[in-house]
Amino acid sequence: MPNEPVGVLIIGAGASGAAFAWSIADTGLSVLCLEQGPWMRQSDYPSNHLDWESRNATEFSSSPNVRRMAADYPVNETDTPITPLMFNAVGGSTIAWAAHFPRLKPRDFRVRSDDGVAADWPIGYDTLEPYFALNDQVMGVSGLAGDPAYPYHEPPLPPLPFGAIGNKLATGFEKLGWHWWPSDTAIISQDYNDREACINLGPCTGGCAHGARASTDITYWPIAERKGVQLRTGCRVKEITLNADGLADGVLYYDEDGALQEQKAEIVVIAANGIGTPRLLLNSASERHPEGLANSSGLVGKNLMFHPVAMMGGTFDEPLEGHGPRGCSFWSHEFYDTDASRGFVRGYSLQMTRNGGPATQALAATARGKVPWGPDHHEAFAGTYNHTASMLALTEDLPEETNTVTLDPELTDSDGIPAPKVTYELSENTRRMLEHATERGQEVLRAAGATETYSVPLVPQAGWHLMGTARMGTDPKTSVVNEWGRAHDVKNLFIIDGSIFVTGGAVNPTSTIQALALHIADSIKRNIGSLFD
Amino acid sequence: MTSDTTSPLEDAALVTALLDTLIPPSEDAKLPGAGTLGLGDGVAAAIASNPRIAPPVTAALEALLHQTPDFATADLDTRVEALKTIEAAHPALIPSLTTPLYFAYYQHPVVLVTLGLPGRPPYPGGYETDPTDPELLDLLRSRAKT
Ligand SMILES: Cc1cc2nc3c(=O)[nH]c(=O)nc-3n(C[C@H](O)[C@H](O)[C@H](O)COP(=O)(O)OP(=O)(O)OC[C@H]3O[C@@H](n4cnc5c(N)ncnc54)[C@H](O)[C@@H]3O)c2cc1C
Repeated sequence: MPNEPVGVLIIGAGASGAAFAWSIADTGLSVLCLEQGPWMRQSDYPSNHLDWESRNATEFSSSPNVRRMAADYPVNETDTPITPLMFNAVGGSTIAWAAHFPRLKPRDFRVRSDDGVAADWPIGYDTLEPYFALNDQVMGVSGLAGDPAYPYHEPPLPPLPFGAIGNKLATGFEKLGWHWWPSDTAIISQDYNDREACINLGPCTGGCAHGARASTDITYWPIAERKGVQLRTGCRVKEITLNADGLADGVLYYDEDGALQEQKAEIVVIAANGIGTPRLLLNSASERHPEGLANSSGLVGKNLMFHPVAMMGGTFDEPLEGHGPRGCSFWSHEFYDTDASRGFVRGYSLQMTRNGGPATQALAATARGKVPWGPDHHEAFAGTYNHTASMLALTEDLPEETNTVTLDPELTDSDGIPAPKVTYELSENTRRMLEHATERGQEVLRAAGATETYSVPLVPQAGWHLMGTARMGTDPKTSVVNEWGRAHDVKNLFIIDGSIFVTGGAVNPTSTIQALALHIADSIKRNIGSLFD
Repeated sequence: MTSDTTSPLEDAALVTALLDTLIPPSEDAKLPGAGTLGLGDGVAAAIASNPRIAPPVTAALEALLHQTPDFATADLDTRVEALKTIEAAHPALIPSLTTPLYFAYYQHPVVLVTLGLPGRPPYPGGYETDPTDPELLDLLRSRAKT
């Protein structure tokens, strides 16, 4: 039986797809979301098991190439020093994320005007402000109002406890007089709606068995479904189809049984993330759009940004118990903005993390050459276990057309759909930023009392943030979508995920991705009468 | 010694001695050796099922047995010296062993409890964590934008 045509068809049920679905349901149009992954069960997450650390590294790895779930598609990562990471399920990558929830800052939207590099966004912080606030309410965000580095905003819940590591590291920032502030985090510090407060299960990246860390399967999807949105899982979209007028009229997708299905729709919305979205557009090439759908600018799949990450750690004499959500206890924006004397443009944020479990700590200390095998093993391990503290530097990755997502000529997913290939090189500007960060990070660790410090100048397994591959702008020659996410080339096709970022700032992107999705949904509502004119 | 057709990874006494060499019992005997803890089967299976590391590990263990046929029954000092010699000739051996071994050892309830952790999964019990130092919070509040 053919599928009933729908008003709005969303591809991808992750961070952006869920927020958008909930909002667009207000139009009264029929809304359907196709998601290639399944619903996850909290009882399946690693922290239900004693061997949670090894499960996190294997079946719940955030690399699809390691995890190899049926819903995953492979990514050719042979030409990138940074491994692209994601999760493919209802909730998308928020199933695996750390839920650190900073917003982009007002200056992040005007990098060209302020610093003469990259491009300005066609919208500013003010446009997104109401959506940041609304999204904080739905996701459940903990934090402390009044960060001097931001326009004033009030997170709905008080900040999460720092733990011993956060308390210790904060003393270093105080000594040096550097900016620091408790993170906005999408983890609830108190019972909130139907969810119970965080009980410090540990690194959040294997999924939260308690449901305290937000993921959109437990935040947006239940309320979206209550509004009548349909979510169909196990459906992998192969391509977007067009009618004779060049408008998007639906998709072809493989269902759970591998059968090719057609779904017609009046409006098509892509929310497949910074890699999945350009992959789908390129796979939707046709006679009319030989270089890929919505790609008259040639920019689909270009300007991939990741936020390259450095890690700095220190060893302390006193024990620093590390339980708690992994994400971040506090951040520092001391080195966020351009300072020409540093030898690079733009900057980075510092994020204080918490420790992993004993196995992860043992492996990390062994990799640093600190824990040998043999008779000295236990003494050496005792000297590092819960005696280290670390932080990450998240650098602003400026867009470069040579950093790309393309279609791999050979690799395919299990349905035979061409898989993406990521080609990425660190720029000289980023390299300098990472170097600066490793020095400054170790300086603040010493100020906090570290007796020894170490660093990893580029963390390879840190391709968490996928941005820029279908960017927004007002000029169809230099952007893929307009200021409200509508493809310049196809009037009823919208892109709402991290692909549309023009620049990435130096903070985690998801708060901004979701605010954009809500902004685009409201813009469609406002313009619905003239959408096809 | 193993026969020609058996992989040294299937030689339980050898694997136990090997793991007890890599992580021997602690001096105060509170932490057991990794082999004595019974981790041999799981670690050997993890290595055998990984086509990237199984061949070099097998080759290194064959060399170890060739060099020190009584490795499984030798004392710790002898085993350490024997393994050091093999490590020099087969640098992939130890790194291939440490990932499955450390995961197995440091997730074992006996080890967790000795490290001061509850010997249970994180969920549903969760853990306590230190609250934020109130003085630090006061300091921040005094600087807060309004
Ligand atoms: C380990 C990890 C830690 C992270 N930590 C943080 C953090 O602390 N803070 C932060 O801000 N961000 C973090 N992120 C990033 C964050 O998860 C993403 O920015 C966010 O989820 C992106 O939202 P999205 O809607 O663009 O895509 P996603 O959430 O990735 O959702 C895309 C969805 O589309 C589906 N899909 C793709 N292609 C198709 C297709 N062809 N057919 C059908 N369905 C399809 C996928 O299965 C997926 O469910 C982290 C990510 C990871 C992996």
